[in-house]
Amino acid sequence: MTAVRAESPTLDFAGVFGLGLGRRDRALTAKGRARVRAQGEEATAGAARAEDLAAWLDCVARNQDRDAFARLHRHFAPKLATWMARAGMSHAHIEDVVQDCMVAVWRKAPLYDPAHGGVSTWIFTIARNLRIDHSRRKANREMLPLSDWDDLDDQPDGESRVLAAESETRVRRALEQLPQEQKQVLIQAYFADKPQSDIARELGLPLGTVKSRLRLALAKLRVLLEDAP
Amino acid sequence: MTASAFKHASDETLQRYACGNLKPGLALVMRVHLAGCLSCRANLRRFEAVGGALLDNLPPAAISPALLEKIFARIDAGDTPREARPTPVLTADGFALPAAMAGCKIGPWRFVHPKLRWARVEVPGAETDRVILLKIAAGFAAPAHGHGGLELTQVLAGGFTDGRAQYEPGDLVEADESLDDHEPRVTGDEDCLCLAAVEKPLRIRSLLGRLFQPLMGI
Repeated sequence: MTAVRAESPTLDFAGVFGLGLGRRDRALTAKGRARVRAQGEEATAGAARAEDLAAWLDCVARNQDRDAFARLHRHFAPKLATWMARAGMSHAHIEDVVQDCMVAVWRKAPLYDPAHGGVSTWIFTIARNLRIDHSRRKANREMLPLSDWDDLDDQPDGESRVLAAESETRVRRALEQLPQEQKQVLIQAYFADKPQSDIARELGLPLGTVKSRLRLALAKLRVLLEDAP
Repeated sequence: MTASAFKHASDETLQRYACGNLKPGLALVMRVHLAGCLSCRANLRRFEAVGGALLDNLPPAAISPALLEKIFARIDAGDTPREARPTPVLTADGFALPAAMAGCKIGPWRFVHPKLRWARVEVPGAETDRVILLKIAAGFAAPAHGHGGLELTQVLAGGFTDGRAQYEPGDLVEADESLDDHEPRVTGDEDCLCLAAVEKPLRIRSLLGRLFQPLMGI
């Protein structure tokens, strides 16, 4: 395990085949990998480590490093495609939006500010804005592009320092504390752009149950992320 | 719930905004509110961080192996992103509207009552979204109405009360179908200017409301 970690600060081919497996998983047996994949969204161990993502983005920002960019692409592009598909985007448009997003990652890499959050969060907001731009462009209007982080410059006060401390690791730990039934509804709320009544029908649950599970999940996450360690 | 909780966006609305699932009209009201509200902004960051972590754990979808080459080709071609055009600050009735409303079109003011005026706000790319500026004279109470979906109202000037809390400029009032009919009443001597967006048409029950709804188209 140690040897595997030591060789990989610059090389990571685990994502080549879209498995989304990070360094830690390459030490797993074939059976173990199958188990991680079978767990699907539960496979928190299957994500590249936040530090890797930050290091790769830093290489792109400083040296226009294409290998590092390719690693980010292998990690994020297939996940972004999953999001766009779940949000109901037509097959023809999914790769356009993923492409726009990764081009934006390349261009904006020097603007990434870790104080605002992790790399996954940054790419999440870029993809979110491009998805909105895309659906507005479908209405055949010339649109002002939305800026990332929505141009909301936080004052350099205590609040933003607290936010800076909210590492992705902490967010993941908070997510792990949610009951599975709440997490399932939460994932639907984030990535399936549909009314809660549709989500309830698909999950075979009463609407009130879906609403209360989401409310509980969000309240718990907010409280966990408010209390900086 | 304390009265101050009513002046901010709910977790559910912030989450929908965080992942881009809020309709453009509602999202516009949220941008105006977020520009002036540190606490909602901090909560938005938290829900964006949750989105980032959830994205990181999504299972991969198959993508074309040629996609990376296409991306590098675009990077090499150096096509530049569209420039954001500078947009003038909008005014309504001599009142400078929030910068977040740049790019919107404000329709003519229309009276539905001597003390109640409204103007349609056209959100670029989402012209059918129901967004209005509402100007209510001091002392007037807006018609009681229930909600057939999410309604967001940002106070821009003046103030009003709806029995739950006293709202001042910068406050966001969120209402949905779970809320009983409420009847906002303008307080103080100043006219009240609000930006409001609704997800679905209001169910206005009072007589004035029934007059109001077809006129306003909301």
